[in-house]
Amino acid sequence: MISVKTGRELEAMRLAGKISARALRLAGTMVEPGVSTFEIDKAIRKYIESEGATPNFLGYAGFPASACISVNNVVIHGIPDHKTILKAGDIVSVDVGAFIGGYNGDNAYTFACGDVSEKAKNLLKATEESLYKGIAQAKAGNRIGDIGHAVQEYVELRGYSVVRDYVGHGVGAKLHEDPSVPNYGTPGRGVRLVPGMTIAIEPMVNAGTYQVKTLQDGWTTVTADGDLSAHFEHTVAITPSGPVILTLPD
Amino acid sequence: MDLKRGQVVFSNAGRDQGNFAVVLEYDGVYAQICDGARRTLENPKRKKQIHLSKTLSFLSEEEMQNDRAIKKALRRFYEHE
Repeated sequence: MISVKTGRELEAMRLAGKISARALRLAGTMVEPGVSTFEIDKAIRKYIESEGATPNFLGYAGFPASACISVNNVVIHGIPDHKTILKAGDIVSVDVGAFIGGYNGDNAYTFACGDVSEKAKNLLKATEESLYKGIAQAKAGNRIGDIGHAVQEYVELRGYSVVRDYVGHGVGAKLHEDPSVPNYGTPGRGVRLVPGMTIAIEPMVNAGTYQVKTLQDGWTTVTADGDLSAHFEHTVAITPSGPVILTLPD
Repeated sequence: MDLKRGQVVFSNAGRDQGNFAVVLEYDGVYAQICDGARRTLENPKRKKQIHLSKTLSFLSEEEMQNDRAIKKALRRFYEHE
């Protein structure tokens, strides 16, 4: 069942989005060679708590950290730890969300650690741009399929693939709500977008095959062919005047 | 930080750092927490709230009725190990 948010609820989501975005921005400032993903996660958690918010990933389905930090061929759900130490050339996806005032935010960005290869730079650029192509379709009257189609077309034209096994989602009082927001689709198909809907659009794009697999820890999801993967995400509100990004730091 | 009975929390400091537990009581500064294994209902851990992070998960009274139930309920927080 899809929930539509009132003006006041959207304001609450804007706040949750702002804190989520600031947490993500903080993570970005820490992505440097020599830093462990544990330290980044700890800083994220401390920041979110300092704002009186709660990291909504911590304990979610048992996830043991406040952010998913996924390096290189890890697509999503990388668990931060002391052993994973960033080095120059890595691409580091951070996915984080905050819960405050009864509502959630959820956003992600893939950062370059030091100098990265041309191949990595191109993947990051294409994935980030595909997110905005998807957001542009997130307007009242369109359908969910329009968003996924825009992302998929943009990405595949550039020789990359979209992950099928994981999708975007509605966001609100719960971190994951209806509807699903796949990064692939047929234009004109799927749930109709109406003002008040709030969704997380999150292209997960692989340099090689779209196939992914989950490791034995039950969380870490990697590309099946070991190639790179990038992930960008915003929580977006559908409004009468077009899509509004809620996960902005200012 | 406002902690409630039944709230699942994460320990940030001490020997139980990195583990999840459930709040039994909270007085505004200290929480009595229990994981059903090392720290039982009879012998909970007294933890300062500044050394804890709260999660958005709660256990029901049924899930907290004894140590075995608590341990079982918290298992999903450790399935990745």
